[in-house]
Amino acid sequence: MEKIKNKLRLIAGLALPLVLIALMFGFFVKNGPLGVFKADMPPIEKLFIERVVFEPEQITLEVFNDGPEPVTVAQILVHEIIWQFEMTPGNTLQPLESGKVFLHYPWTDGDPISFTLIASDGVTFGKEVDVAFMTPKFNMLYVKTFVLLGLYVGVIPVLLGLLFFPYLRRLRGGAYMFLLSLTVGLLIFLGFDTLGESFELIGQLPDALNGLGLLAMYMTGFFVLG
Amino acid sequence: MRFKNFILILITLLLAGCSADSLRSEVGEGEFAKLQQMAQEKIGATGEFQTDDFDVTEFLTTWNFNNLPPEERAEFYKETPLSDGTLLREYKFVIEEKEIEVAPGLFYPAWSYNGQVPGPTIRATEGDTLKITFVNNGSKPHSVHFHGFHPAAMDGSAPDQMVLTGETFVYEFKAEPFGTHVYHCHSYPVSQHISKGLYGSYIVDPRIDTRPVPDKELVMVMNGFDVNFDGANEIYAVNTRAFAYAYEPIKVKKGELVRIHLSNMLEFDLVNSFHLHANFFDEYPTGTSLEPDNYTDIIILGQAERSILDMRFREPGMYMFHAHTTEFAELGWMGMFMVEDLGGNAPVNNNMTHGEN
Repeated sequence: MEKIKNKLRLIAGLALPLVLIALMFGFFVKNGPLGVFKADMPPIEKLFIERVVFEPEQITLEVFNDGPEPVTVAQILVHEIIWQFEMTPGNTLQPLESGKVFLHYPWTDGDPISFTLIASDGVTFGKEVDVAFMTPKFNMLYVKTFVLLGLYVGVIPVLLGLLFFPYLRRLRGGAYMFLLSLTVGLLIFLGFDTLGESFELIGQLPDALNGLGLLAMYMTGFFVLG
Repeated sequence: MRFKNFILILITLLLAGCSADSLRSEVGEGEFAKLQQMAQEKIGATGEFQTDDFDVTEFLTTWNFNNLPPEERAEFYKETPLSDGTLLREYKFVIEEKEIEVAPGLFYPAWSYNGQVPGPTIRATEGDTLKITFVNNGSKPHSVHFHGFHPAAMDGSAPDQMVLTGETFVYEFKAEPFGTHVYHCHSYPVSQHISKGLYGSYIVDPRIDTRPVPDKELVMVMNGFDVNFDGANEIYAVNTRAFAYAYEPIKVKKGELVRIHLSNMLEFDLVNSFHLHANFFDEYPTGTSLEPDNYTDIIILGQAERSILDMRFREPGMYMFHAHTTEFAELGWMGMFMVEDLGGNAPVNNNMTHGEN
């Protein structure tokens, strides 16, 4: 009998506040000041130009709908000049949808260039490129360069470092501690540096992807699982 | 360490030394030339105009509501001869807030006289009496301010002369001096009321006209639109629609006298200009003289300045006309004359192409 009474009390203790919350919420939605939020506010449109790809006399803009409303791109300005464009998958992007804008534009190597996308209701979205240059293509030359880069930055320093090993082996005491703490300090510094760069990259992401949340999630995941 | 590993390191260093030259992607000569040609053809707006509530070609030759069928026209315009030989011309102007298409697919929330930007063109003869019944169906006070002689009470510019929402006012004055004039709203802030589309042409013909008789008369109002409300125009046009006369070239005949009643109602930019290709024209500044003052192919007009331009085309073909403030031209203020020979033919090879959406 006691046990059942206790169980009932437990359930009541949980159910009662829940029911009250549900009632309050229902009342708020029906009669509360929610009308203020349903007011005639203009739709929030947000278009994010993620990347600009330059090819000979052609430019491709990779765009992303960052906002809660669909956006229709009506016209495009390059350097404050109306220019014809083609857009895939179509001129209208749904929220969180990506698209590509193709322009046949005679851009000048080394000069800055600016783009403005005008939505059908007049809202404008801009992108400035400080220096226009041909976007590197993925070919054998590209691969070769990066292999060599990897050698410069990765393999050679490590090999050079390894050459010190016979000397380090014979170190004892203070000198050894000094070198060890130097290494640890360097690693901690690199950690903070990487964190700093991550924050910078977050700023360059579309808001809808919640860069800060992603960073927090992955960092925690790394420390917990890794 | 071992000598072997040392040699390995040395070889790696040597390889790294001969780094890749350039990453430029190679495009063939012929291919590049084709791409350059294609890029040249992509100037202009994308797509077609989606609404047909404003006919740019009809606007050129419309005044005193002559584009409307008689019963509808009677509601907005009435002519009554007076005892002294002049006419009493009565007009009805109604404010309508309307979304207009200023470039293909691009809409602007405008304030208009009678649902059109530019507003209806008024045309009278010197000495006629004008009576404009102005009804404000908008959400803000508005007025009509005419450039021309009128009594101070008809000025429409003092704060207590503003016609409030729902009210009506009758402007009455004599049409003078002869010339091409403008009217616009003078409610405050004036720059906003003008840039929102409240302006139009007001033409007064001289009593005794010794000028050559034109074969074709065209009304052109240069204007522009600040679509994102940042205080600068993004779209420029003549008669509201960007590239309108590139999409629908103006048809004229070789040798005919074409008279343009040109006015500038551009807000935010200091001056506007008009340039005609391959041809020269006579200019009557403000149209207030019976003799032309200038023979040129380009004129500059400040806001609310206007001129009459008389031109004849010598050869058939396509001739561009545009602002020679080139940035305005490339943002929509550019059009074409299609000059036909006497047989009605015109070479169509220079037609401006426009992209598909």
